[in-house]
This record gives sequence, structure tokens and C-alpha cells, in this order.
Amino acid sequence: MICSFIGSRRRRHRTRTSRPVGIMLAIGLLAPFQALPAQDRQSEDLAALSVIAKRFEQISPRPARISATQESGNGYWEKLDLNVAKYGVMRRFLPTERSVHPALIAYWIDRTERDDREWDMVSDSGQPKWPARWQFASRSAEVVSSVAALNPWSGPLKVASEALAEEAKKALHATYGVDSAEERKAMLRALDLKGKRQAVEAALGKFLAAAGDLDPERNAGWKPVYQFLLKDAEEQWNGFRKDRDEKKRVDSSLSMTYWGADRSAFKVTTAQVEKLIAIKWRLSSMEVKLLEDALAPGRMPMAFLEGAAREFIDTRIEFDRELVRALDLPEVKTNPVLVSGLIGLFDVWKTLQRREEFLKAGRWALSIGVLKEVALTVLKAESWTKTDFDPDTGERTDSVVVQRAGQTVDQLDKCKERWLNRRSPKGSLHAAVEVDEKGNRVWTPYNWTVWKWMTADELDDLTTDGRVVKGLGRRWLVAAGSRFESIRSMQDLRAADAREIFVGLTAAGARKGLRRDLK
Amino acid sequence: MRVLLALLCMSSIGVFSAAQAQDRAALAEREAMTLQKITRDPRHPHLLSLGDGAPFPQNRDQFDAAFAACRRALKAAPGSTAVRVNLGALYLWRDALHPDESGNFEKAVDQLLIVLAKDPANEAALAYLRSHEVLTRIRPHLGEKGTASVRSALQRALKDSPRAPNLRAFAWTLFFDGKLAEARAAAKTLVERAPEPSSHLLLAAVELKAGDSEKALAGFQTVLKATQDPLEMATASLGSAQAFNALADTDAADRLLGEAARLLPPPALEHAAQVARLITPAELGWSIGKAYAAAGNAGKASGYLGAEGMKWLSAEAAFARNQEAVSLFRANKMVESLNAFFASAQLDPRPVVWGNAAFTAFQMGRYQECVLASRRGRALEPLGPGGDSRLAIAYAVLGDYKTASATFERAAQDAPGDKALNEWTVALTYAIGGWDEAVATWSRLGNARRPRWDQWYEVFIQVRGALGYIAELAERRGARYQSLRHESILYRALGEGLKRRFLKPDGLELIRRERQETLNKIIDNYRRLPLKPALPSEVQELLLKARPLVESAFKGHDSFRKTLALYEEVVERAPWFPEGHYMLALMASQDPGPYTDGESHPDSRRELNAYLALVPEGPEAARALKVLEAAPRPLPFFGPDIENDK
Repeated sequence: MICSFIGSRRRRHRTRTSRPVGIMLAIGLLAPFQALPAQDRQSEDLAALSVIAKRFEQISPRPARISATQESGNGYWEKLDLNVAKYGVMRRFLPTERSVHPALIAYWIDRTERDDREWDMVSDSGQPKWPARWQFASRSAEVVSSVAALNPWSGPLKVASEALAEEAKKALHATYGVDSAEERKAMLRALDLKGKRQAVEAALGKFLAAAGDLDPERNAGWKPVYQFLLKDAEEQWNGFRKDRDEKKRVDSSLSMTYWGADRSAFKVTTAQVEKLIAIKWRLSSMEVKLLEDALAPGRMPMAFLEGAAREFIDTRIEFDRELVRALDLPEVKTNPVLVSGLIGLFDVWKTLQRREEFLKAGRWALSIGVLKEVALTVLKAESWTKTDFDPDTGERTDSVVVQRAGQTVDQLDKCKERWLNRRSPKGSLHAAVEVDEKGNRVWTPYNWTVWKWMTADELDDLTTDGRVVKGLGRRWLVAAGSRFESIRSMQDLRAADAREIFVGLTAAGARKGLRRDLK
Repeated sequence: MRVLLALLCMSSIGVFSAAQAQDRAALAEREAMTLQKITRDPRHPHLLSLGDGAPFPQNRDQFDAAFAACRRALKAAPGSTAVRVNLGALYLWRDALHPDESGNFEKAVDQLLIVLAKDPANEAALAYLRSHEVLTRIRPHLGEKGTASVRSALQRALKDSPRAPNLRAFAWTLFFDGKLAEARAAAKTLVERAPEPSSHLLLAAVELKAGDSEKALAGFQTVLKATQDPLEMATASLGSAQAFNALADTDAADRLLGEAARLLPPPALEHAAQVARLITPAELGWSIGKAYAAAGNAGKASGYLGAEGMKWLSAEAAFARNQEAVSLFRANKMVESLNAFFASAQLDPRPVVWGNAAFTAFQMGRYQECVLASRRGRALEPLGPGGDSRLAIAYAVLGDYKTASATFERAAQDAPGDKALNEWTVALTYAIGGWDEAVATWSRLGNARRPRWDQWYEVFIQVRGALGYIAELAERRGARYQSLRHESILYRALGEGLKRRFLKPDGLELIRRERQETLNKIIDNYRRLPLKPALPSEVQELLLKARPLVESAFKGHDSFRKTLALYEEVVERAPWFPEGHYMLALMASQDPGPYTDGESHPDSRRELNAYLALVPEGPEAARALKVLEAAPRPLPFFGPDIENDK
């Protein structure tokens, strides 16, 4: 399974050259002699990298390690990526969903909160005519009312949606449009965003229950609503994508301007920097697709690594190699100004660490790194948005998504570290995931990035605590202090609020990947 | 256990913060010893002096040893609640020493909930769960679902063990979850079951948060009577101060905040406020300072707010005054609006407020104030074409044509496409220098070359429009001296229209009538002036030239015409000058002509009428009336009705 992690080009190359060696290894003849050159090369590369890292450390100190949940950083770019990815995921999710999924309700509520006003027509003077109406709220109500069976629900839904949209606009104004902190607090305190949200949720629940089976092929009543939602998601996705691409493009062109300000005379390095910027742009272009795929409904991390992540990892390896080459150029070695230029453009420490990990442990380390980056994007984007409110002060607070995604990042780091240190990850990474009333794993738009991940040691601890129980042919994680010792029925499952435990990331693939990389 | 709980309670409400400030080294040593004790015996019940919500970094090794010992002990005996409580507590503070780890808080809460499930009355676990460090982290770390699960675990424990500590922990959790109605009910029950100061304190804090300041005040006062504990006293004083402030008793709030500050050092008092979910002393001080500032007690206000705070407050007050002024303006309460704008600008001189003041003053015809506000605003940032025009027109209405013209010209440079600015410049050049200068300015300002008659027509229209406008503004304001001046120039400008023959006959007739109407206004204004204006210097010069010529005026046709022309010029420039009209009337009565068709010629009867209208009781009035009666009536008269006026 893991063999497909390896980039196709490299795989083809290795297939041609390494087959005889593989055969000889299999019969145990040439193993000591054939393994040596590859290991020597790896050692040489590592030694060279170590020299570069030491030289670089004199200019830029190695960053301290802290948990992702304690990391404070800008999440603006990640937010742009996640905005696009979320709608991309929704475009995939909607055609597959046949029942009322929390993500569907969350989507509807989120769109209502971010609704815009639209004007029916423009007056002669070119000024919009009042009163304006809420775009999503009124259009969705129109669609709902066009279906005879759903018509009675359109009115309440519209009223609740408009109230929520108004409240959300006020909250937005209070957050960004008011200078005085006291005034902002007072305004936010006066708002009832949560109540309005609950009202929409209630109206939506009734309407969706009335809609019946949410299969557009079989349910003619649902079809227009489904088509409307799909079109809306498509429009939102397109809008966010264009916005994000435009900003990234500007960022990329600014990079070269930054370099060219006073370093363009160094031609060799400049050529290398241009190459690096181009690779970085390629990586940036892949990021949203990568994120979409990682968060796609039902997508497991291993399947993600085998699919969309492959090309990305290849490109990343290329980027790291080229950046290390740039650091090793004679003119860069002797000129700190060029090094500082590279620091301004690229995250050099990350590259050095990744390169080291790659040389030590092969693609598997990078695969874990990609998973980590997906979780980190969710973490940073959500920290940037601060979607939760403190009900008392009205201040926005960190979302629990931030904590969960941060823990995922830390667990992946731990997993990678153990692999790097011992070349043998002790056990696999387990995940505990909520299940629905039918016992199916509940998918959220953050997918595996917000699962509760556990190492084998942690699972042992939980077992000691009596929180790991068996039943219905699976293992379950029950709440702390739960009195359930086993899950015998679906009723037990609901009462215990249990989460299913399963292996989310295996170690077997890692071993296989390393063997291939070292050949 | 009692000692432990006392320590726990104190830790959770900040006593250790104060103590640590005094002797951190001793505290660190005590902490190290506790950790060593736990390492030796993981069931040891004395962990809780980890002040400041975190252990000291130098104790990291001891911390790790204690942690490992607890884990080992728990593996061996999973049912030991004492070890589990210690492990939970260590997890709570583990983030501080292991910043590369995550999920410690969740693990801590899990351990404490497991303890409660086994021992619902475990006071240590309950105390931890109701500590500030835990309550403030539950929601962001565990989300809505985690918060609900902690709440329901506490509820279950309360059901199994309906004792005061359980009720207290449950009430605090509800309070921090924002479920005020349930928290109030739980706190009331707690007060009934355990009427201790801490119970009253909780209930009062809930009442205050729920907005019932009077009940809260009563609760805090009960605490103050019942306790001698400095922490509880300080918290209750702070709560009372907040309640008094909400009840608009600023002096009482001030006094009680002072009491609280005397009882605890600032960091400890701030922590105490956070623990009881009161607003912090700094926020309360700010609020009290604002109340004092609003009441005009600047001394007290600045004591709380400081120089920066007062400045900020000024800005805030200025904003409020500006908003108020805008509302007054919309309600057409102009005087109040202007006063409010000026007050706002005095508090925080921002260009936008000066601009508002200038605009309002202009609308009200208070041009002096408009100039003042515009200049203040311009000192901060450019006014822009609109603001410059307003300022220039205000200057013009006040009669300062030169500054007005310069202002327009500068504005035109900033907004080259704005044709109106150039037109104003041309009109004001006429007021300053006369016809030829106005025409030259018109050409200089980049107007395309045109036939002379067209040029003249353009200049005439611009001068007539601009001067008519400012004369009207001055008249509307009742500024008679300025009005007289503008109308005099307008009168002369209209004369240019009659004289230069670029108008069609019907246009000529219209201008003639307009000129006469202007003269009527001039006469009216002049007569109403208490002090008559002095003659402008250029008119005095003309008179000096004309008077010697009068004697010889009738000796020859040329000298007559020269003298006549001089007096005509005098009347053109000072149409309100009675003697000018009288002399012109005398000269005109002797005028032999001839005049070509269409050429204007002096009319003695009209001039006499003007003289009599200006000064009905003048020294020459009797003689003028005689001449008037004797003279024929060839021309219609548009002047004021002298008979009625008398």
C-alpha cells in the first residue's frame, strides 16, 4: 500500500536499476555489499547537511519546539486556503449525502451568517434601492417555497435566517467597525447570535425533516433545494478560489521584487532563487487541492497520502533539495546578506529539518509532515477566525477545533520523532471518532484533523483508566468517569457518548517506505 | 484534608499570587519539597502549592519525577483516587513545563472526573474542578460538548453526594458557563445549606453578573460583616464597589475600591476579581474615573484615568459631542449643533469635527466662525475643494476679497478641473482691481481665446453671479456694512454691462432694472446704518480731483465732460454717497449733450431722487426738492417711495 507513496518518476527509475539488486537481496547474497553505497551516500548527504545547518545556525538560531496548541502565529494565508477547501469539500459532500448531516446544517447556518445584501434593481440615479434583501436567505426561501410540500416552512426559515444575517452583520460591525473596546463589548453583549443561530437550526430541522429522503434522484421535492445548495457552494468556492489565487500571485511576484531590491547582482543565487520561487508557487497551487482532498468526506489519512499528497511530496522534496543547494552556493556561504534574503523568502529551518528527516527516514517522514501541515492549516485558519464566543463577555475565543487540530499536529510530530529516533514506530496512531445513531463514523468538515489521536502508550493509559471498552465488534472510548464497562447496544452507545477507536495510521507503511527509499 | 482544602481554596483565589510576590524563592523550595514527597508517595495529599497556576521551571526534574511516580502508581493501583487526583493536578500544570506537549488539560479533567465517578464527595477533585484555572479553560479546550460533560459529571456527583462542596463546585461551573439562572438557584441553595461568607460571595457575584446590583450589594455587604479574611473582604469590597458604580453612587464605589486596594496588593486583587468574575480593579477604576469626569470632577477623574486616560476620554467625549451635534443639525437645531461641534473640536481637535463646525457655521451665516473652524481644520489637513470654497466664500462675504481670491486660486490648483473655482477667482479679481484685471485673470486661468464680446460676457456673468451671491449671503445675515460693499461693487459691475454694449436690448433692459434694484437695496441699507461708512480712499481721490474742476466746469465743453465723468465715477464706486448723486444731478441738469443712441447719460431727476432717498433730511434736501419739482419727468423712477418713506 505504501509503495505508491513513492513518486512515479523515481519509482520508474528505481524499478529499472534496482530489480537485480532486489533479487540478490532476496537470496541474501549481495546484501552487505549493495547496501553500503546507498547508506554511504545517505551519510555523506547528512554530513553535508549538518555543515550547512551549523553555518546557518550562526545567522539564524534554531527555533525552539513548542506544542502546536501553544503556537501563536498569523493564520491569514491558511484561512484563505481553508475557505476555498471547505467549499470544495462541500461540492463533493452534497451529492453524496442522503440524510440530514450536521455538516449540511452547519453549511446553511454559516452561509446565512455570512450572507450579503442584494438589491432588486438599481434606481435611475444609480443608487441601490432600499430595502435590500439578504441574498442567501431570500433565495433559499424562494427555492423552498417553490416546492409545494416544503412551502409552509419557507416563511419561518426566511424570518429566522434574516434575523441571523442581521445579527451576524451587527456582530461583524461590532468586532471590526467599532474603535472603542468598551462599546464593542457592550454591543456584542447585546447581541444574541447564538439564539438566532438556534432559531435557524430549529427552522432548518423542521424543514429538512419535512423534506424526507435527501436523495435528489428519488425525491423531486429535495432536488431544487439540492441544486440550489450545490450551485451556491460552487459560487462560493469559485469566489474564494479567485480571491486566494490573486493574493497568492501577488505574494509570489512580491517575493521576486524583494529579492531583486539589492541582490539581483548575484546571478547564480538569483537564478536559484527564481527556481525556488517557481517551485514554491507550484506547491502553493497544489495546497488547496491537497487540503480539499484531505478533508473530503470519509477520506482516511492513509488514502489521502496515497492519492493527492504524492505529487505534493515530490515537489516538496525538490524544493528542499534546491533550497539546500542554494545555501551551499559559494557566494551564499560567504555573504550573509544573501542568507538573510533567503530567510526573508523561505522558511529555511523547516526545509533543513525536513531534508534531514528525509535523508534519515525517507518519504514516510515527509508524508507525516504533510498530514501535519493539513492539521496546522486548520489550526491556524481557525485561530485566525476565532469562531467561538465567550457567552459572558461576547469576546471571540479560541475554538475547540484549534485545540483538537493542535493535538493532532503534536501527535503526528511524536509519531514522526519516534520513527526517526528508533526507525521503528512503536505501534500505530489510534483515532477516537464520534459515531452517529446508526454507529457510522461522523464526518466533519475538518475530518481527521480534529479526531482524538492517541499513541499506543496513551491508549494503554486510557485502558488503565477503564475508558476503553468493547462491544458491537469494535473498541470504544467512553467518557471519563463513565459507568459503562461494555457497549452492548446502540442505546448503550448513545448513553455512554462513546467514540469508536480504530487504527488511523499504521507503522507498516513506514517500514516499507524506508526500505524503498534506501535502495 | 482540611489543610489541603484550605490551601486549595486559597490557591484558586489568588492568595499564593500575593505570597509569591513576597518570597518566590521560599515558595519554589516548598514546591520542590512537595514534589519530592509525591515522588516518594504518590498518594501524598499536599500537592497544591503550585502557585501562579504553574510550577517553577527550576523544579522541572522534580515535577517529572512526581509525574512518573504517579503514573507508575496508577498502573499498579488504578483504583487509587488519591494518586489520580495528584496526577490530574500535575497534568493541569504540565503545559508550563512541557510546552511541546498538548492535550494535558483534557487529561487533567478526565482524571478528576474519573475520581468523582468513584468518589463523588472527593473534595480535592471538586476543589480543582471549581478552581479558576480549570473553569476558564474548559470551554476553549474542550468545547461545548466537553463543558456539558463536566457539568453533567458534577450534577451526577451532586446527586450521589448532595453536600455543600458538591453544590459549590456545581454552582461555580454553572456560573462560568454563563448559565446565570441555574447558577443563581444553586448558589441560593448553597447559602441555605452552608451560610458561609464564601457562599454569599458566590451568590452576590452571580447577582451582579445577572444585573441585579442591589441584591448583589446586599450580598457583598453580608460578606463584609461576616468575614475577617482579607481575600474575602477584598473581593466583597471590590464587588460592592462595582455594584455601587452600577447604581451610580460614584463616591461609594470610589471608597470601596480604595478599601479593596488596601487589603490586597494589585496582582492579588486582580486575580481575586477574575476568580469571582468581577470586572478588574483597573476596569472598575476606569469606569469610576469616567463617572467622575462626566460629573465634572476632574481631580478625581484624572486620579483614576491619568493623563493618557483623560486624553482618551476627551477623544471619546469629543466623539459623543460630534454625534450629538450631527443629530442636532439633522433636527435643524443649528445653534446647539454649532456649539456642540465647537465643543467637540475643543475636546479633540480633529479635522472632521472642524469641518463639521465650518459647514454648520456657513449654513447659519456665521462666516467669522466658519473662517475660524476652517482655518483650524486646514492647519491639520488640507480642506479639499469643497472646504476651500466654503472658506473663500466666507472670506468674501466678510469683505476680505484678496484672501478669498487667493484661497480660490489655491483650491483651483489642487482641483484643476473645477471650473467654478476659476469663475470665483475672476469675480473677486473684479472686486479688487476692476474690469481689466478681471478680464486678464479670465484669460490667465486658461480659458480659450474668444472674441472680445464673448470674453466680456463671460466675465460679466461670473462677476454678476458671484457678487450677487455674496451680497445676498451678507444681506441674509443682516451684515449691512458688508452688504453695502458687495452691492456697491455689484452696482458697478452691472454698470459695466450697460456700458460695454455686449448685451442685447432685452438683456440691457433687464440689467438696467437689476441695477436700479441694487441701488434701491444700497439706499435701504445705507439709511439703516447707524454709522455711515467712510468713503473709500479711491473715491476720495476722485473727489479731490473733481472739486477744483467744478468751478471751471461750465467754461468749456471738455472741462464739463471731464468733471461730469469724474462724478459719474464717484457714484459708480460709491453709489451710497449722497453728495455724489447730488453733484451729479446738478451737473446733469446743465448737461447740453449730445448723446448717441443707446449711450447712457446722466439723469438729474434720477440722481436727485437717489440723493433724497439716501438722505431725506440732508443739507441739500430742500433745494433738491425744488429742483425736482421744476424739472420735467422724462425717465421712470424705480427708487424707493420717498413720500411713503417719509
